[in-house]
Amino acid sequence: MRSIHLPRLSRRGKIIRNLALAAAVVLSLWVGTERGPWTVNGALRQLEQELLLEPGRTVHIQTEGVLEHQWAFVLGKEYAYTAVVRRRDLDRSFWSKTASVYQAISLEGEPGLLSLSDWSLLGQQESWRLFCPQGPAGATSARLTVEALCQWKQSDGTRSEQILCLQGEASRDENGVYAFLLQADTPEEEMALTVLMGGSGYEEDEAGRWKRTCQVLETSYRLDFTGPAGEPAGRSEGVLT
Amino acid sequence: MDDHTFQTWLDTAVKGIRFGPDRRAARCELAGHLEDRAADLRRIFPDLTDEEARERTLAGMGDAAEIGKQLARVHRPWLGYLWRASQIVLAATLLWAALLLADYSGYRLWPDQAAQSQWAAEQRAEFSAHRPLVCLTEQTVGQYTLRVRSGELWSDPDQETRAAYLRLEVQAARPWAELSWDMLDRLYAVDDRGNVIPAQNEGSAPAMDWERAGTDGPFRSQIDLVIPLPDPAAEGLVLIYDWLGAGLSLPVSWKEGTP
Repeated sequence: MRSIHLPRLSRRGKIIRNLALAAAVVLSLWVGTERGPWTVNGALRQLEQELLLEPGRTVHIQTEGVLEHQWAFVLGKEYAYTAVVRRRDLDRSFWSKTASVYQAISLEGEPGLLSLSDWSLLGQQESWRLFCPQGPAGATSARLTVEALCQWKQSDGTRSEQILCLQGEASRDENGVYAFLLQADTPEEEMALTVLMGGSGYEEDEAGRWKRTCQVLETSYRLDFTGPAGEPAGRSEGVLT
Repeated sequence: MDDHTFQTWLDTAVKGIRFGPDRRAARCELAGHLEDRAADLRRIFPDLTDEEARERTLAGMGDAAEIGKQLARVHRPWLGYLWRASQIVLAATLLWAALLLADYSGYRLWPDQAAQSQWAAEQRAEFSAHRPLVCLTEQTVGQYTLRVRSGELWSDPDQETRAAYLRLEVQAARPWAELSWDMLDRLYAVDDRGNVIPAQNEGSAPAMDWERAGTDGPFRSQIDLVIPLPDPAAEGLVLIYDWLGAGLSLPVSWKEGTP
């Protein structure tokens, strides 16, 4: 049996060979895992594949919460969804599934609303990002009204209910998406917003004692679309879950 | 000339080579060369002692310090350092890749599938009659191929209940790219009479139910599906997954004579 004699490499050749081998290993893992464990977009595309969906396009990413979870809004041909990518989960295993769908809607139906939420929020939130992925034909802007029925429990044992109304406006962007940013103007709205976003509606006084708790019992929304001249172009209502 | 002088000459000659492995290799080569020359001299002049032969050899070689300067110029240290760095990079990369691959807990190199999962076997026991189905149907969606490998029609004539048991095989492009459980929870069926058997996640009974049954190598996992049939006259169904526009549709028929 004839043995194969590989040409003896110069030192320069050995350097190139070693670095090429290292790059090939990294590239194999990068391609093999389809960037899932490495990037937010990779994790989202992997999630879509595992749900047998056509690949979508990540339109918005923001980092929130103490665990620095990444919230994403993704637009596909036939769907839109919001998702949470828990990059910290990679600490446990490189192979763990880090992305999960939070809310999803089909673009074939009525205009809907998608929000971003997370349980790892700390402190009170001052703003909340929501998306309407499709509006009626002819609409160029929209006003979002969110009404939250809040129940307050005070440290003296009293309970009260209050309807908080938050409003935001958005124009139709190049993707056809209306991106709203609801702002809280009062401490009560901040607490309600925090609860709506999945955080805790718990407030302490300066001494660190429990002061009051906010619980959101029901949340409804209304989308009022308008045309380029400000004329009404449709309305959509629903309940936020 | 004693051995100490000989070694000192060699040390001086290679002192300027800064990259250690090169210095050792050059010293070794130089020592071999000197020994060869000394041996040649002894062969030509048999009367020479070893010490004299070495002395003449070193005298013929010239100044060790001058040779050292020339050797230092030839052996550029940065190339050596780069080579060593490339070795470290390669070793670290291989170690990192090995650790990552070892971290993956789902390796299934050998089949571990049961003929039927324990869960499906328990469901089967609730029916008195079991008819095997010949239902080979498959569809590829994205990187996955889903195929119905086998099935049974379970019935209980006394209680007029029927259910279809299907063994679904999911073939993935990569061992770690398993199909999402959320997808399986959203799988529903429609029988040929138009009755909808709802998905697991809809929470309405009687709904489809599933359980992982095992694997058939690293790329294929097996799922057991039990589908309650509301209409005993149904002779087939279609497994459907159409969440957010996904297009999976696997027809299964159990009409007499259907291959």
